[in-house]
Amino acid sequence: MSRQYAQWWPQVRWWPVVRWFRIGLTALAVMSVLPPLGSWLMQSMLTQMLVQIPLIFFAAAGWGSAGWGSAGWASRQQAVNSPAWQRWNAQGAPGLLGSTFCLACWMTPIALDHAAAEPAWDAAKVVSLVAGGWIAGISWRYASNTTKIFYLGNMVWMSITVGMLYQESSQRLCNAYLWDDQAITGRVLVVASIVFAIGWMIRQAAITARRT
Amino acid sequence: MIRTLIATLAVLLIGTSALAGLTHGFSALTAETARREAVAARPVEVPALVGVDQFGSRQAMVNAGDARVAIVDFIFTHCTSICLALGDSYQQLQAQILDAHLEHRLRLVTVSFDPERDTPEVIADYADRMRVNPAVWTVLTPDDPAQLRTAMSTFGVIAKRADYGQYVHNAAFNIVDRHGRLAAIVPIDQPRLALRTAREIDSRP
Repeated sequence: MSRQYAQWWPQVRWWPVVRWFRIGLTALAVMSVLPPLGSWLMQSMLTQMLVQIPLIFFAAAGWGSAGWGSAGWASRQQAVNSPAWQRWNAQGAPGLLGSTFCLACWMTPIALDHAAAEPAWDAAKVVSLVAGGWIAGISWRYASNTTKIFYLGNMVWMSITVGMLYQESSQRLCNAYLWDDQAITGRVLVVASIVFAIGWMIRQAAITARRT
Repeated sequence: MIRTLIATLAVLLIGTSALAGLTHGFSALTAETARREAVAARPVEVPALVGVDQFGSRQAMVNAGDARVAIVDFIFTHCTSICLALGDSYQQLQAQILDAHLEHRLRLVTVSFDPERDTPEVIADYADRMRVNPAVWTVLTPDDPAQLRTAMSTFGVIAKRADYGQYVHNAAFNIVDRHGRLAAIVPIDQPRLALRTAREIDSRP
């Protein structure tokens, strides 16, 4: 199995693909906060929480982790190895913790409600998610597999809990959103978290297999 | 290592404060709870809202001449869910107020947020159906949409159009004190608490 990977995997030039994926993601993220698409996404809890917020976060994380693809490889390596930064962010622990707080805030009904009702809150959401995603992207490179699993485990556990709360609640938690919308958001949040966790583990297994 | 620890502690501190600030000290996970707490801590001046009552005469939701504490709710009469429960609660509150001879201290006000359909005739019909006693209970349909919007935002009432001519909306017992200030918001499943809170607010100077 691992030998097969070793034979075909390195022949694929991944960087252009990754770079265009990242550019595409960024374009989508920018569109997701601007009027036509942005205001449409904000009309439903499902699309605000599970389309707009992840898009902004992951687009920013992409730039934080690798910059401009292969051209940024060298500088990225330098940044990762820069002892000054690493001393403040060993294993990326403080950075990942900070991004966890950022995501936790934007999972609460009160924050989603404020963002849907007040433009200032919505702007704060975008800024904090860009910062949180970018820091997560940088910190990801410092982190060992153990730290990554710890961080992802926490995130997945947190979002599954929130998703279950949204499904179970007999009350409408957001004044801006409907009860059905909230229940569906909860269900999709649980499914998406599990799919994300499994997907990441498969990818990680593939990378490990390629290395051995 | 020590620097990472310092950084982690700083992040922990900032993150916890942000969450605490957002949830008003970990006590409000929803905007509704946050509003309830804010109003209880600092009563809010209620804007003018004039409409037509169940007898077809113009009346203000809160008027200076009336020195009674009011329990106000916002409904639409075509509602097939939450307003029905609220109507039942109002009937019980009306009976309890009359039984305790509190009609000179407390009153009930029902405001329609759907004046297009809730015309004065519809309101009169609704009042009949609900056996509204005018000594205690006023049903009002506002005639100025702008005033209604302002009042709804002050009371934190949000109504979104839904299918089959329905609205999805939040509801609560909003208690307005003698000075015309929104002084408490009580969840709709606690009518007894609403009455108790209204009496407590009535006993305030």
